[in-house]
Amino acid sequence: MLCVEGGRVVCPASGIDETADILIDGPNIVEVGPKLSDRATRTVKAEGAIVCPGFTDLIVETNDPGDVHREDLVSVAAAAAAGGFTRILGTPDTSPAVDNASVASDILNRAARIAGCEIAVAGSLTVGCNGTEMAEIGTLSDVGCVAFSDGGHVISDVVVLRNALDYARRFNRPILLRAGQPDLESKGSAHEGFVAMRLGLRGIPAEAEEMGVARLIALTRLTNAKVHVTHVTTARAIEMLARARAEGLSLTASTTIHHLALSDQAIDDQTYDANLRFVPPLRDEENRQALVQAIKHNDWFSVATDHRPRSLAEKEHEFERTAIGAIGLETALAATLSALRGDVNATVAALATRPAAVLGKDAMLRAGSAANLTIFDPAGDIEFSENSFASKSHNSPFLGRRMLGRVLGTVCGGRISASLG
Amino acid sequence: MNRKDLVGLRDLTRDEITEILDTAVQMRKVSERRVKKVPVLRGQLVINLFLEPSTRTKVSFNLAAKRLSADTEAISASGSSVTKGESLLDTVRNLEAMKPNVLVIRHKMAGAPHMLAQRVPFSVINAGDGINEHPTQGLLDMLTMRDHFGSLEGLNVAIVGDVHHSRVARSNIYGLTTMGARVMLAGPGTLCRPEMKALGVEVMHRVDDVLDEADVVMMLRVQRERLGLAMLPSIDEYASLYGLNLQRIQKTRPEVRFMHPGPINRGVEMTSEVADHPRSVVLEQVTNGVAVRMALLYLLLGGEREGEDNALR
Repeated sequence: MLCVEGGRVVCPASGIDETADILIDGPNIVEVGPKLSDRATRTVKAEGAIVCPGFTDLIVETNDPGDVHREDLVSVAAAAAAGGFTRILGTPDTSPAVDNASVASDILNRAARIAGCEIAVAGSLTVGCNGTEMAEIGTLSDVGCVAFSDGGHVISDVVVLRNALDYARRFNRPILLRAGQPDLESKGSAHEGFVAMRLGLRGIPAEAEEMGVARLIALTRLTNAKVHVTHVTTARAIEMLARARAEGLSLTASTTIHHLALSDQAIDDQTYDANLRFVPPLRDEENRQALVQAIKHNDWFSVATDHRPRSLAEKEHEFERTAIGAIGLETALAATLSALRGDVNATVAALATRPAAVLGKDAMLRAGSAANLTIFDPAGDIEFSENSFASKSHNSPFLGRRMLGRVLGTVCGGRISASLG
Repeated sequence: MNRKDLVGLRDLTRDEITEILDTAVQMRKVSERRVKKVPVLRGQLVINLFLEPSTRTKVSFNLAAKRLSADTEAISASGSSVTKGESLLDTVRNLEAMKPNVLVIRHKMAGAPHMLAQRVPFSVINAGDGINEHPTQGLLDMLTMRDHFGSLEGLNVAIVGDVHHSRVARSNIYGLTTMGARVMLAGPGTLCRPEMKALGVEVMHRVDDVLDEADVVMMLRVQRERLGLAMLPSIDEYASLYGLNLQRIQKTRPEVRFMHPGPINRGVEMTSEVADHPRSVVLEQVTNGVAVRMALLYLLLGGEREGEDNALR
């Protein structure tokens, strides 16, 4: 048996926040409590560290199959483990998309052979994530897809989306949908506001998200679907979602680590750094603060990385032309801790407990649960440089920065990561 | 001036702007001589990379370089490897291998010159980046205003038209507010948004509201593409609500000057009578453009060299 000894065990789901040992047998936790190391054949010392449920990330672009120069299943699993994630959900917009059984099975089979992080697969709602034709949601569910999405593409044909939600209901998988309004998003590259105006960048207004959220709420009500709204970046969207939940609708939501940690003020007017281009765009400081507050007060609101690896050749361009997005698996902890001002409980809830709940997984540390743990030092410093990433790509706005929040290792399915010796 | 590049007027100081304008006045004298050439930049290479259409700016930069005896090379979008899918950075890196001293770039995306300036050892001058800035236009406009009014401090400048999408307007706003002028914007609600007040200017929707207080009225070109985007119902309506004509300019001050960055849509922004009016200084703007660009090349390429001050005299 394995014992993780002496760490500060933080488990928001059970309310634990105290020093304790965790005893593990095979893939499961046997006991959480004091002085358990005598019963173990192997001990991992965790004094001074936080021991919490393993992080789960709901939005990860694996790029495998299709764009493996950016990332593949092996490197994404390594990046995830390095970032403290024991479970990631791959987006379906691979090339080819996860819209049929063979692609889904291929990914699941290869993923099963990779240790260190569980790679779950989301099936696409529409064929090729093109928003026009429904994919074989039933078959994809049978084959092992645990959720559905169109990978951040907004399905603008409302009839198609409605039908997909009606049809998918029976398979009882969460549906992840981005709240956006493509017409208002197509020409802009930054949040429509003072910074964009000053920098001469075309803007994407917050109202695009508001319209997208309104539509998703209405469709959720209409179809009685279970929807997880992704990429929420505005105060108004949060208010609307809170009201819709109060009505009884089955809605959860998440923002991304970059929107939580950065505002549009980060876009320097002398550099126009391409690593700050996101869709939706980084919002103004007021909206960012609302996201921080929302994480602290709403147990239905979590954080995803929206990990989007891109090569240097794809990023080194003008701001309006550069590939969108950034890697996030390895910077997630530091970014989230920083945004939440060091609040460990909120960070663990945001990165572990709540995302796991969206997938219907138990992220509670207690006897009988799966032994998925993250061990980190919230005060440990970490410098992000090109050489330090396990990911094949290095497109991060935190490149070159020194931040706090160092992952020491993970326990995934009862197995300890190499970093823990 | 202690900079490698000129990417915009946004962060230029009062002193820097003054230095450029004063140097431009010296450069203007060169253009008035019979032999319009001084050797200060002999052997230096100026590359003009214009990835968006241009006539006057391109010719102006080319002339400025030549009057300083520099060598020039011009590359336009259609003639370049950009059509073969080469990235901007690769295009410029290939040019870098030919060791230029300065790259003048016009590009349709904001921030392109900034992105390059950080990555290349030679000077980068922004000749217009998307809707962001057109700093040399701002400088030549300010020089023209200073010529007629002596100082920019407290000067009342009205900028009229499609302000939101105008890099000319933006550079003027940054430069003029730094120099202490009062800037008023007027234009249709789709093209002249109240948010611009945050830049330190006044925003009006009727041109008549600014005319009686303005010392300078700068008309911006109506870009017909805007019609396609449903931002204006018609050119005719724009001309009747905002265009300068003899009747409308009766409201202006006796010493007012009319400006336009060009090219003028006669009958739209201004009628021919106004474009050719004694108080219209549009052609002086063009002359000043060459002088300002000469000044900039001189200052950026370290024009303070022995004996060369003599050459300017």
